[in-house]
Amino acid sequence: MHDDMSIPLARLDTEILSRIRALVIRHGRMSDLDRLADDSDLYEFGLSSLNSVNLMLALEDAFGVEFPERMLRRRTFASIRAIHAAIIELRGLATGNIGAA
Amino acid sequence: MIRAVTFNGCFGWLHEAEGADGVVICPPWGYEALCTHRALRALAMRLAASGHPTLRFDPPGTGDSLGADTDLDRVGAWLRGINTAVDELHHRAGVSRVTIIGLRLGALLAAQAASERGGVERLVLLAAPVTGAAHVRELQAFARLSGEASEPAGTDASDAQSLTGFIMTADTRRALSGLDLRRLPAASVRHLLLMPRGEASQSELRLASELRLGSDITTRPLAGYTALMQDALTSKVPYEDFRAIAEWIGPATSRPPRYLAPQAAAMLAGDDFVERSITIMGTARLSGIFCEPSKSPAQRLLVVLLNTGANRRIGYGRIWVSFARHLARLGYPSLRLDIAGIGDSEDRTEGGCLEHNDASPRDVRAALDWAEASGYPRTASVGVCSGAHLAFQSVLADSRPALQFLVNLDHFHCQEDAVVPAPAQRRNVRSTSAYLDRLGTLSTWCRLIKGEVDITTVGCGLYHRYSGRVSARARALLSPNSDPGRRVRQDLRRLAERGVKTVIAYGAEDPGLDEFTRNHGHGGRRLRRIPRTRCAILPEIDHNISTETARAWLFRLLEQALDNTLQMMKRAPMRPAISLDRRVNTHQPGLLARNTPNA
Repeated sequence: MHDDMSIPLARLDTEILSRIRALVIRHGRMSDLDRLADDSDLYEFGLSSLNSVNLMLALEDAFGVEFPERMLRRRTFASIRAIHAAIIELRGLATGNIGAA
Repeated sequence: MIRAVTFNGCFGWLHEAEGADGVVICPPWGYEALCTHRALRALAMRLAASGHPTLRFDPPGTGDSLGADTDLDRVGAWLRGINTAVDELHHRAGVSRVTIIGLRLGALLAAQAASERGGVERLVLLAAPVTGAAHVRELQAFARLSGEASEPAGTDASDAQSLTGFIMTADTRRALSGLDLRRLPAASVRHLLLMPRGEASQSELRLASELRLGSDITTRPLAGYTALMQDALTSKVPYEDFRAIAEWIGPATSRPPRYLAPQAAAMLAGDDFVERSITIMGTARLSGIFCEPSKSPAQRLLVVLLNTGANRRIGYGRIWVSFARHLARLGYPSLRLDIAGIGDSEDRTEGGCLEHNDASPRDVRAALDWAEASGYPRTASVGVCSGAHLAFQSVLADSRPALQFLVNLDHFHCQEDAVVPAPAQRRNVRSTSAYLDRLGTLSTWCRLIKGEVDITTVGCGLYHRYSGRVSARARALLSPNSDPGRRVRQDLRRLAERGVKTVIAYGAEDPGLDEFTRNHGHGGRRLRRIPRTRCAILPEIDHNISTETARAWLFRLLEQALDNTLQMMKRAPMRPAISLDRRVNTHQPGLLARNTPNA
C-alpha cells in the first residue's frame, strides 16, 4: 500500500495529483466533473461534509498518512491542489523530508 | 402491522410478521442515526414482508427513548439495550431465533453484545467500524469538516464534545475506545454477514480476514453506503443491499409466532413527564409523541414541534426531545410530530418533496384536530428553518394556534425565484452582516493574509444569494403588491388581529437573516408596529441550534413566549376553533385513538 514511499517526493507531484483526482472523483459524488480543475473548489462542485470524511479515509489509506486534528478543516479538502499540499506536508513529516517537494 | 412498543425505557417499533425467525435492528449513533432512520424503517418493512418479525428501537438516551447522551455508562446501557431488545422480541413475538443487524456504531455494539450473549444465530454488520476509537475519530472529523467543530458541548459533563449536534462525553469516548471487532472471541455467532463500506476504508475491507467472531462469514460490500449516509433529505434507501440481506437471512419458517396482546399504551415515564406514541390521520398515517407533564396540571396550551428538513421528530441534536421534556417540567404538554414521508410516518400517496410541500400544512391541521379532541384547543407551533416555514403556513390556515415561534426561517412564502440553498450551503455560508462584522477584526485580516479563509466558498455563496434576488427586488420596486415583505406584514397583521402572537428568532449569522433584513429591515424594524409580533436576533444560536448553549438560549426565549401567550389568552376570550381555509379541510377527520398501531 505504501509502495511509493521510497520514491523522491518531488517526482511524485504529478502522480500524486492524478491519484488524488481519481479518489476525489470516486468518493466526492460531485457533478459536472468535466470542468473539475486542480484548483476548482470541491465544495462548489457538491462535495458534502459526509463525503469529505469518506474522501479523507480513502486518502489516508491510499497514501499511508493520517490527517492530524489541525488539518481537519474544510480548506484542507477544498481543492485537489489543497489536498495535494496536505499530502506532501504529511508525507514530508512522515519521512522527515519537509520541504523536499 | 407496525406497532409502537416500549421496553426498559426504550422506544421501538415492532414490524409484525408470521415467521418464527425474528430480527433486531441496531441503529447508528448521533447524526448518522438521523440520516439513516428512514432507511432502517424500510429495511424493517422489507424483512417483515419476507415473514420475519422485526424490532427496531432507539437505544437508551437516544431518539425517543428515555435518558440522554450525557448520562453515565452509555456504552454499557447501549449493550444492555440490545440484549433487552432481543429478549423483548423473543417474548413479544414468540420467535425461536433472532438475527441482529447493526449499522455503523450499531454494528460494533451488536457484535459486542452478540459475543457477550452467545447463542446468536445470525449477525449482520453494516459498515461496521473496526474499532470504537476509529469511529470516534471519524465522527470528530465530520463535525469539524461540517463547520460545527467538536467544540465543548457547554454541559456539566466534563470534556463532553458536541459532534454535529449530538453530545458525546469523555466517558463514552473512553468506553468506545475499548471496543475492537478483531478482539471478539472466536465463533460467538453461528452465521455472520459482513457488509463493509466498499469504497472507503481499507481497514474495514481487511476485516473479513481478521474476524473470528462468526463460525461462517459471508462478505459482500454495502454498495449503497455513500448514497445512504447523506442528510436525511437526500439519503437513499439501498434497496439492492437490503434485498441481499433478506436473501442471506433466508425465507421465514412456517411455524407461526405467538404474539402477546399489544401493549395498552406504548408509553414511557420520566421524572416529570409521560410520553405516549400516537397515530393521527393526516395526508397519510402520521406518527407522533405526545409528552405530558406528570407532576403538575398541564397548561391549556399544547406546543407542536415540527420537522426540520427531513429530520425525524426528535430534531437535530435531539433538540425536540429535550425541549418536550423541559416543557413538561414547566407544565406545558407537547406533540412532536412526523409529517408525511418523514421519520415514522407513512409516505403521502401523491409523493412530492418533503420540504416546503403545499400539502404539509394539512398534516399539521390534522395534528391540531387531534389536540383539540384531546382537550387542547389552543396550540403553539414551533419550527426551525423549513419547520418554521411550515409553522407559518399552517398558522395562516388555522385559527387554533395562539403562538407561532419561527426560528432561522428560510422564507415565509415559497416564491418561484426563492433561493433555497442546499443543506450544506445553509450550514457553511453565514449572513452577510456576519462577514462585514468580521472585517473589523484584526484576526480576520491575519487569517485572510495566511490564506486560512475559504474565500471561494464564501464568495460563491454570497453571489448565489444575491443573484437570485435582484429580479425580485426590481419587481417589488415596480409593483409594490408583489413585494414579499409587504405580503408577510399583511399576513402578520391579520394574525395579530386574530390574537396570534408571533416570535421570529434568527441566529446573528444565519443565512436566512439576509433575506429577512432585506424584506423587513435590520432587526425586523418594519415589523415593530405590528402588534403581538417580536423579532429576536441571537448571537448565541447557529442555524441548526447545534450546541447546548444555543438550545438554552432558544428555550429561554420559547418559555418567555409561551408565558406571554398564556397571559394573553387569559386576557382575551378564546376564538372558536375553525378552519380559516376550507381548501385544506378536505382530509378525513383528524383524530384516531391514541396508540393505534401504524398499519
